[in-house]
Amino acid sequence: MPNNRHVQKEKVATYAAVLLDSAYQAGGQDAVLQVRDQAERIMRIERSNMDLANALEDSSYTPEQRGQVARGVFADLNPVLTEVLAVMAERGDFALLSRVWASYQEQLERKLDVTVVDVTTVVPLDDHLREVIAKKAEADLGTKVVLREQIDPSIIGGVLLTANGQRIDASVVSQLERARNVLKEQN
Amino acid sequence: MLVTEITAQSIDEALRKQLDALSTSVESREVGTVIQVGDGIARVDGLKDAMAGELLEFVSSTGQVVYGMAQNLEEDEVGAVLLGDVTAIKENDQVRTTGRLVEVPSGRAMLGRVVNPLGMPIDGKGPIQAEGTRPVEFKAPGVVYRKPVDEPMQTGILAVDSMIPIGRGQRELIIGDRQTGKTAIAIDAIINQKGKDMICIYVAVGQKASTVAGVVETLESYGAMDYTIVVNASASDSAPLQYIAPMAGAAIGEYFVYTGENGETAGPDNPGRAVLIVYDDLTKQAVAYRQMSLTLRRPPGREAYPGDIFYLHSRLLERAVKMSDEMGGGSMTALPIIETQAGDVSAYIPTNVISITDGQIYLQTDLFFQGQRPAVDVGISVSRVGGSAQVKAMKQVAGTLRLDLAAYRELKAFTQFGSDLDKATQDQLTRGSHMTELLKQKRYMPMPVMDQVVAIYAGGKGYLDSLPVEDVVRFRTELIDYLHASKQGIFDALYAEKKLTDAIEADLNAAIEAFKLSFAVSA
Amino acid sequence: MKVNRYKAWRLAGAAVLAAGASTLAVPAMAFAAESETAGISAILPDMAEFIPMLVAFIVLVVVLAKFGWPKFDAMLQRREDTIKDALEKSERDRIESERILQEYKKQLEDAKSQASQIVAEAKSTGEAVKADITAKAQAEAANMIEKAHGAIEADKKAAIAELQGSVADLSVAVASRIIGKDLSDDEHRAIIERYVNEAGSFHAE
Repeated sequence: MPNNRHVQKEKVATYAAVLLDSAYQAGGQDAVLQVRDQAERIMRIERSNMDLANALEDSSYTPEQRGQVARGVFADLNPVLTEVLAVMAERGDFALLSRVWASYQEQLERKLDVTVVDVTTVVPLDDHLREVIAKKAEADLGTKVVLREQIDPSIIGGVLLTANGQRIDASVVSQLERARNVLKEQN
Repeated sequence: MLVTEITAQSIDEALRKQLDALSTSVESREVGTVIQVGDGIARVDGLKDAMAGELLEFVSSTGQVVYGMAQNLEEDEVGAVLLGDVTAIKENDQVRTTGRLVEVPSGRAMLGRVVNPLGMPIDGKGPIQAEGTRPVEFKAPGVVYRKPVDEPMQTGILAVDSMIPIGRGQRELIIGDRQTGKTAIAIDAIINQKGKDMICIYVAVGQKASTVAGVVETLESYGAMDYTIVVNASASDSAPLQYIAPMAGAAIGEYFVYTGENGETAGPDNPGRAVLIVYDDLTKQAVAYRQMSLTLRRPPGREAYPGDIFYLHSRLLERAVKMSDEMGGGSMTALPIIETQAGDVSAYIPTNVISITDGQIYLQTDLFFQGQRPAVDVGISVSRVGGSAQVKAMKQVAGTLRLDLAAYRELKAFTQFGSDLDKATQDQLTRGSHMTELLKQKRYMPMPVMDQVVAIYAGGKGYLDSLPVEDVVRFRTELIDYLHASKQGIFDALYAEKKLTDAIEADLNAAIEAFKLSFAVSA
Repeated sequence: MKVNRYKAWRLAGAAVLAAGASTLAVPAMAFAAESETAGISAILPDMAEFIPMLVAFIVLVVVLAKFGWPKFDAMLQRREDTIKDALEKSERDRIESERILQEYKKQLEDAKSQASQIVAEAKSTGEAVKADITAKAQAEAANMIEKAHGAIEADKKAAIAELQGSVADLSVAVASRIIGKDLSDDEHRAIIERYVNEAGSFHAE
């Protein structure tokens, strides 16, 4: 297996490009965004589930076996993603998933001029809020913005915006936490 | 004296004041995700803008915040060490950058306290109100900000102060096998700083908590905790904490060196303070760093230590400093301790540290078991720069002492075959054995410098030669007690003149002779 | 010189002896002369007697001078020497004893002064030690009091900090419950809008 950094990087970029292009051909921007979300979920699962990660990276299985496992586990996903993941598993590159995901993000922004902003709130957004948030994010990031909305009651209130590894934490829970720390400080 | 009253009002006021300071503005921060965690090490995805040595905040799923330090900056991930509750952090937890390097609080309020390497108190005496903070990693000041060592740092130990003098700002290694009294020398040095306007820092790395508790108790019972800070990363703390402990101690000390009493930056009118720092011991720090580096997957080198282990110790010890007068003239004297295995000083870490420091105090197991305590081997111990800082009077008497002992060692080897000796040889042997005996000293009994001068003077002039060897220590103690009680004038003159003038010598001779008349030799 | 004097003594002694012997011999001859002759012949020695007597006398003198005298002389000499020696020795002894007496007297005096000096020194030493111990004890006591004060102060501060901490915890808990439970969706949305507008940019730098 080549360990050269550049070869590795090329490989990651190729996987990401294939994923992006075929998803776009299959279903346009919506499919691309769906693949992104699904890939992210898989990445999280893979990190916290050692059994899965081991099964997909274990070289004592034949490539076909690994591919089969991947196809079986990821059957419910977007077919493009399932296929790419299976190929990665077959070729023993599954560990590159997080880098592929990062590269996918970066190519998404470059090729489609779209940045995904994760918005976490306690209550569902209304159209007015969507507009306010999208406007702010577009002004900050200089690209078109797609909002992925999530509801998480544990932030109590406020909003959590994440894009490109940067996060604006305007949640009530962290505000309160900050207040608690300041109050506990001795003058 | 300030007396705090506990009233509802005072607490209310404090809370309101803090609340006013609370800002609600939110800035964006970089966040990453933990890919993998284990052995006190976390690999973090994202954080493209993290700095080397930056303080990271790990937020566990329960909301608990654990601090970490960015170590390996790679293309698409960051290797970080966790400084705190290692078990709280799991995969997929969030990591935030803080934009700050790892810092420790410092200030006079820390005196008498036991803190962990992050400056948090671990002695149960309540929170510490720090005056300021210092970065744990700090580049040592350059040549123009320094000046040569010119003030003595008295350890109160005869063998050390006479023949291996240490100056303020020096780095003097204490090296020896286990159980040879390395820590004892450092503790004696700290106890001897009482009333000398010196701030002491004792950094315990990888030691049993009970040992450290014992040290703290000893320091307390000799009143030395009033000017001492203990930084403790015990054996049960994680390797990263043990790794930063010496640097944290140095940072706490640097606060005193670089700021004056008024909290402003030290300068010509605002003198910096003198600090003595003991790293006990750097062997354990090296081992912790090795563990950390291996788990961070850095390539191992000799004895599996990472390639930058020399740089780790050299940059730490380079922080020992004597500042120039323009910079306030503060000083940080470092006493690193290295433990050798079976006296092997040619192992990797000992040779490294020996080559970095300005001299070393060797402690030998066989001397220790022969009853020669402190077990300092004066033949191979050296101080490369301390001589220029030595008190004049001590220089005068120590010259003969060194010669006597050297001649004694040489002769002793020959005379072990036991042939007839001429008078001169026998005299030299007697002198040598008495001088060697004179250097014995009990723990926690540091001697003021002029007491040492008088003791060595008495030995060098041959007043001890006629005594039985086993009476030498008692003679020394009683002589000094006698002189202090009835001939204090001699000491006053010595402290005023700082050297042995003819008049003082005459007085001293007379006094010693008078004392010797009344000294009862034990049967 | 001494030998000469010794010889002279010997000669003189022999002469005296000879004279004594002649006076002893003369009366006997005189009686013999008286019985046979009278007049001047009575005092004149009879040659027949005189000659052998003289010979005997001379022989006696010679024998005595040769063997008796030296012994006698040596005895005298010895005796004289003994007496002289005894005298000299007694003189020496007297001087010596006087010197020793002086020495003893001096030593006694020295000892006396030394003893008083030692006593004085011991006194001053004792006083210095006493002062030292007292000062140390006082300093220690003051130190202990100060430390105790410090400890009490630290405890108070710790208590305040703890109290302040629990007040903070409590108020934050209350606040989060109020915000979480009692805010309507629209109020939440208002908060979100305000926060979004107030929040800093994604590009923190």
